[in-house]
Amino acid sequence: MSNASIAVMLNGLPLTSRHKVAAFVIGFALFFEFFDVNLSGVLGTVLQNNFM
Amino acid sequence: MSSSVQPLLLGSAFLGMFLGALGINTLSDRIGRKKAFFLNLLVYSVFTFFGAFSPNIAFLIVCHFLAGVGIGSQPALCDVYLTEILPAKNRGRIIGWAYTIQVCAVPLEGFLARWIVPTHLGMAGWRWLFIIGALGALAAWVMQKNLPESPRWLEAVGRRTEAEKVFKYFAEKAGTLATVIREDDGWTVNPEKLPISTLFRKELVGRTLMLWTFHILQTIGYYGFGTLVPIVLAVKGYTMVHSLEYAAISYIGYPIGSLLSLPIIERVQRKWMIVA
Repeated sequence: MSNASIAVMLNGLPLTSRHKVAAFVIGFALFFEFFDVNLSGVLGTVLQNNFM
Repeated sequence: MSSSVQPLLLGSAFLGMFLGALGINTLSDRIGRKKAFFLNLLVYSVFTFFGAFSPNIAFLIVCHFLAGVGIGSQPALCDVYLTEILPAKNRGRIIGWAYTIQVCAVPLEGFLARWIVPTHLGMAGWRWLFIIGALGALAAWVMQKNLPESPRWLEAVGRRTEAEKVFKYFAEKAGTLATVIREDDGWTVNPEKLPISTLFRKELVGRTLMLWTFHILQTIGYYGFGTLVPIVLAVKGYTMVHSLEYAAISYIGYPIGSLLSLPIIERVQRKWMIVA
């Protein structure tokens, strides 16, 4: 293997299906991050009635 | 729930996010991106799940705060991980796709809430939304187990052999290994731990202040709008079902805006995209 920096070698790669799968998995995790953080807002009025 | 408690419920996750962003992201430099992913996904799936069974509002606020600790580190960690594995020329577009998937959550959550909240399947409908959120985070946790560690992080901490293995994992599919690796490349890595004060050096202070301002304001728009719309509609006299319905429709703009940026993201300088 080369002595070149991994960062330089990664930048030289074309986009592959493995990059796309990794991006999809990260997008999926971000989807539920946004889903969970918005729960209290979306349900704000519902929770207000529920715990009155 | 009294109206004085509502800001606590809304703010609890954001306070947790602030602390999580500071804590877990700092930790990711020591334990690696992958372990930090596991930690934050575990924290927010577990406490979102517990939130579904809240007997009172105080319990829900505590669960939401603790879930926020896990949630807060997620966006920055995802940005760092994707930046570290993606080739520079495709980085903006592919990260843009990941965030387009993310923002689909808001309209889908709105429509799901409109459909599920009025139901009662063994327990109140709203509790099922917390369970869906927790199970989704758990699914993300399982999926992320198969992702490789960031090769740049491995190299930065001196684990060069493992970094090369991860590089080969990505390069195998490219079929261009020989053209990428050149023995005479001459680039070497000399990791250096920099203090936070580096951000305030003369050449960086302008960018630091601009990005801090941008992130504070975009968080208000990004999270604030989604959080407050149903409440504002309810205050205006709309029924719960109608406020959820109208909120869900108003959220459709999130993914549309993100999709519109994708074709131009690699053609326009990042700073102009931020301005736009």
